[in-house]
Amino acid sequence: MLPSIRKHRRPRAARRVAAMAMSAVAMSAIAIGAGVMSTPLQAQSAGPRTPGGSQAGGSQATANTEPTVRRAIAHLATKHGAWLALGGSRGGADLFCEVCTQDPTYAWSLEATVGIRLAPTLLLGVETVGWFDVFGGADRTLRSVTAVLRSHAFGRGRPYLTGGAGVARYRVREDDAGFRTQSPALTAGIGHDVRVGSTTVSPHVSAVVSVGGKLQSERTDAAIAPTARVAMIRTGLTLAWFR
Amino acid sequence: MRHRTAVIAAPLALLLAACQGSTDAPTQPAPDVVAAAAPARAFGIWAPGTGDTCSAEVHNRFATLGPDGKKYPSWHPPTDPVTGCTFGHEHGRDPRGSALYREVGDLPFGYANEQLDAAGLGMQRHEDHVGHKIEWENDLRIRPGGSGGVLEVSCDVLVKLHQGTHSRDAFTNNLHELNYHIRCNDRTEMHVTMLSAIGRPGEFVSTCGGTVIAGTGNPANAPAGGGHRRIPDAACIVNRIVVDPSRSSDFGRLHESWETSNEIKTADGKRLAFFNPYFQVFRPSRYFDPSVAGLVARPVDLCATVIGDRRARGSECQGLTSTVNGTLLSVNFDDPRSPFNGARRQVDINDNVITNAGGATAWYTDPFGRNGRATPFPGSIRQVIAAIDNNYGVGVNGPVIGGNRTYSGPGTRAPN
Repeated sequence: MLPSIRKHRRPRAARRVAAMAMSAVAMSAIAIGAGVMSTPLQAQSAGPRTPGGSQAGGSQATANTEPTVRRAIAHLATKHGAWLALGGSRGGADLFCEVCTQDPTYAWSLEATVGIRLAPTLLLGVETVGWFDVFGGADRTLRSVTAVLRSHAFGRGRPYLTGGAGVARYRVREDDAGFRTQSPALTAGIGHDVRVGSTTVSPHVSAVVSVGGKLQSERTDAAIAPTARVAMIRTGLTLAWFR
Repeated sequence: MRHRTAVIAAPLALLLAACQGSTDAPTQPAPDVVAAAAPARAFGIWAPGTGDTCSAEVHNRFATLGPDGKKYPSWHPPTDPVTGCTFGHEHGRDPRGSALYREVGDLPFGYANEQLDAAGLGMQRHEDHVGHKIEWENDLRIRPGGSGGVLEVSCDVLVKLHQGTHSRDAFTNNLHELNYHIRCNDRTEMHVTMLSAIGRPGEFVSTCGGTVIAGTGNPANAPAGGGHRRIPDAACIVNRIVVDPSRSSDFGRLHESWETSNEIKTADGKRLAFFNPYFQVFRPSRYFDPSVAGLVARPVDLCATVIGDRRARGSECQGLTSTVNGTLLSVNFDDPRSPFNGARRQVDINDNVITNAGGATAWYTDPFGRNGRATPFPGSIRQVIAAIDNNYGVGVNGPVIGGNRTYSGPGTRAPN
């Protein structure tokens, strides 16, 4: 039920953050639905808008869908609240394919989530994670953008589970050449909220697993493996604000 | 760190494991069928020399059928496993251990040369028997450039080059039969037989650098190819091997490197495949010397060469010289005791680029790998190339195979 979170009166700045978050969630949901890998802020700035709220130059489906989704999300956010989480973690990531060495490497990652509360114990958000192993001879990066559901329904404390779906992109580069793969991905995680003043600190363990896509040369697009999957497990802390 | 790796890797591997399939189709001709077949030009050309205890008849039992139905010589060990006699030469690694052998079978030595006779290109090229050298490796690991250690392609490779390093042939002749078979887990697959044009006819590259004009190629109208044949010559090596007491002989300068550059092309010039293995021989039994008749000088003779206080210094010459009537003499170049017999070799497997996505997997080309068509024509050779595009835009600089092996057997000697 998270009563302490709901009782807390958010400051004005937090309300502005929540308003921005609602917009970002709406646009990111549309972007993910269209299979486009973009961050929430990139999606928010895509294309001029008509006074009526439709997106000039966009497809008819997008123009029709966007206001509806925004209205629905705005309604839910007004009714139940919104949330924003920022954090860092340490994780191991690996690439799995016929020609992959399958030797995971470890690096730091950054993550951000914005969302709304669908119900008292259920949150919906858009999460982006960037994992960067860039201090060795080669650069390995994993980025994901996923729509996530976060459930506090397990017990009366503050543990939570998350799960979601989106897109993950893995890239390795060395000496001006590289390979990449991008494919649909699933996320899952478990964490625990700890209130610290107006902020919630959440230690968590999370995973991203892609369902598999071509592993291609960045120079020629030739596929070195028809199916490559990515997996990343990380543990870290996020700072979250709820309204 | 290793433990942490395993902790992470194990559940991930369980989660995402994949499996690989394989195919094979072995067919070996029956001995009586081979015996009854018409001989190719390459068949039966070996005869025993001094010290060789096998007869030509025993030797000719090691034969196979070519795609043209003729019988060709093929791989045999240095010692006949039935009689124990010795052939005095070797053909490299026993191909029966290759993972590709069940598909490829015995390699018919001289098939591409034979096809050149029929190709109507106005040239002939036949090579001796002892120069056919096989090398192979299973599960050869190749790390593509740009992959940061994340990718590693596993390949089975079976190659054969006619690489004679005992005679004057390669001083001027750039056409040498090459069999190249490779299959990798990135779907790269080629089965190619051709006459590889290695550099230009009539010349070679000295092991000290620079081009040496050595005469006229055979055939004289042989096409020039990429790469080169790096061969020792007297101007390069004599002063590096026959040295004063303060120095050691640089026998490494004898190292021959034949760096091939091969393409398979369609009739309209489209490149289907490119591969460029380098074939290296560490102790050949010859070097180029324009001051001697026949142009061929022998490294082992340098063991007995004395110029003032200069002479060969190093373990290579140990036990190879004797003093007779005050004159230092070396063993003959074809003495089995000489380490200069061409039996230590290695092959660098470099690029294997295929640009054949959506194309046929079987192509018929002329013996130089050109003029590829879907149907056979006189003198054509069937080449198998996977219908993929594996041009990743990155180079592969050669994993080495065979460098830790020597193929000498009892009685092995130059010419080998």
